[in-house]
Amino acid sequence: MKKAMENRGEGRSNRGVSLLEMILVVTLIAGLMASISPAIRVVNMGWQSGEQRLEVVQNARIAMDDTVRALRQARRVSAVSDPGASNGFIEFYDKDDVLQRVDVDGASGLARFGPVGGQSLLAGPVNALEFTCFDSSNTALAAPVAAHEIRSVAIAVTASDAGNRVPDYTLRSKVYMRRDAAVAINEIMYNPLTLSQNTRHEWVELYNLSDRAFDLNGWTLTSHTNRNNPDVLSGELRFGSGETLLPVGGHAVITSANTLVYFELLINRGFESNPLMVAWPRSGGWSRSNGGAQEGNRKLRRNGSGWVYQTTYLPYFSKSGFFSFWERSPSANPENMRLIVAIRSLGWSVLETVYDGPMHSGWTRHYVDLTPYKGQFVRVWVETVGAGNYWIDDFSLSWSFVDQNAVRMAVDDNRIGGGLRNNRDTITIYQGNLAIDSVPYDDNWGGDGNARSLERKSPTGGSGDSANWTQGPIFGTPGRKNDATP
Amino acid sequence: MMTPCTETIRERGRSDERGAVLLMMVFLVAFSTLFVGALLRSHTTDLQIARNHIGSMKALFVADAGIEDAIAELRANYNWQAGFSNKIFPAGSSSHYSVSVTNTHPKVVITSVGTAEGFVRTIEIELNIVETTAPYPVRVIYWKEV
Repeated sequence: MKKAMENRGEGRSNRGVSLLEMILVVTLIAGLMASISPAIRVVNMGWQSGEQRLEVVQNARIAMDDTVRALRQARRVSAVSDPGASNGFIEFYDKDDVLQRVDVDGASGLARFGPVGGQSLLAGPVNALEFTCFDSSNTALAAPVAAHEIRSVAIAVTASDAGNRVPDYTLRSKVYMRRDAAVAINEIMYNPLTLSQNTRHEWVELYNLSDRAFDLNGWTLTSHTNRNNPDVLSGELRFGSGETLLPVGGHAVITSANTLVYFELLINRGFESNPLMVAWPRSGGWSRSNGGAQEGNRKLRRNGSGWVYQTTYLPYFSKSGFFSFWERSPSANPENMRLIVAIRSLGWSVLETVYDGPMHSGWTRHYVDLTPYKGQFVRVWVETVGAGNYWIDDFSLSWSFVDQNAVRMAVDDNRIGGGLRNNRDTITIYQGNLAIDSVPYDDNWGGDGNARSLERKSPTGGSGDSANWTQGPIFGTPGRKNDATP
Repeated sequence: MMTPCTETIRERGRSDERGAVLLMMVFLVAFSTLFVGALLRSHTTDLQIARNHIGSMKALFVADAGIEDAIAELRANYNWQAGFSNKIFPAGSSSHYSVSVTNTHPKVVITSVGTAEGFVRTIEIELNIVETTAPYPVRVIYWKEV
């Protein structure tokens, strides 16, 4: 029995699988593999395609993420490509004031990001990088884009596969630029010491604490009274040159349309009033005439040669002096007529020639800064030379407590903010619909009816922080650094 | 020479082994089917995940733009809480965001739901209004996807 068992074991181990069985198995396996290999190939291809698509998406995401994050913290945009440019760029100052740039590297096709000139490759290939900028009214800015008007930036990143095996992929997002304090309400004369026309003497001073200039033209101002009907700011033409660009570190003084900032002298502005006209020494032949005036209804008129002048004193304690006038001639050939306007001393020597030239067919303005003649009597001399019809209007001769270098802005009516309240009010300045600064003052803060202004101590300090405001000096410091500012 | 007993046992053994190859093949085919099936299933799932990722990425950035828009509104008016309803972004596309605002200043919670190509992503942030005077600076407490 034992022998039989041993024999049976030997027989089994020696027998193995027959060749036929082997062939059959190999054939079946081969057939099986042949039948499933297309499926595996499809799976593999799909897998690769998926990976490539994800790679493209990841590249777009990285490029978008880094750009969005950097722009979100940026202080301001300095330059940007035209809207619609597919190979776009944007340059901006980051939070540390370093100029950064995002663009596409021409050689590698990868998005780049970093300090200008030292950018690092970011992600890609990026087929298109587009920047569309919007202003504070959410209006798309056309080329060339004015960087200082940019409020938000729409970004589109289109990433592609290097082998063009999968479709391009586009991500879009939008970033609103960080808003640092840029222009601050810096001083307020809300309750000046006057016997009448309180609102006519009120003024508000702005200070540019940013590192770029702002054009204040069209900005608006509200107080509680006119909050639904904001004052629109424009360049002041009687006490200023009409300049509306507030430079870095500059002050702007906002007044009503016919303000007098304490003792400002405005002589015979529009020749609307006869007594004022009488006060002007002149040769014969001058008259006030109706219609066609630069402002109001009346103008000063004369035919042929003649002269007229006005004398005034520019106090030594004033901060600025200014003279401006408008001229026009309805004659057929005004270019052949000659007008001379000069600033003369009491001894009649010419201190400065404001204008010496032909008349113009349309109203034309001329002006001169009289600040160098503070402490002197000056004469404004007007002379007409030759035949023709001479028209003159809006004659302004002034001195002021407003600093010579200040930008003068006027609101579009005779009451700034509709008349600033004397107990408490909130003054807000807007660029478009964007509130730039807002001060909710209280008469306990200072500057209440004693000829003193309300001064801000620090332009970067809180606008609504009463501790950041204090009473200013008599007549204030319009157009120059506050006494309270270190 | 084999004994009859041994011969019988070996014959029985050979007859027992008949069909082994078929059985092996059945197992092999079954295994292969399961393998390929699992592979296809895994692949389909991966493709679906990738497709979701690709599509929803756009929705995420649209939601992000909604948050940015809302912060800009708050910085113009710290009392703002109107939100946005299906605001198209970018212009001309079918993508849009809806923003809801719970403004109990100084605390403000903004929720932005971005929709793009049928995908929806939601971002929520909480911020504090630091000052109630323009330009109404804000401090972000958290910014997360929900």
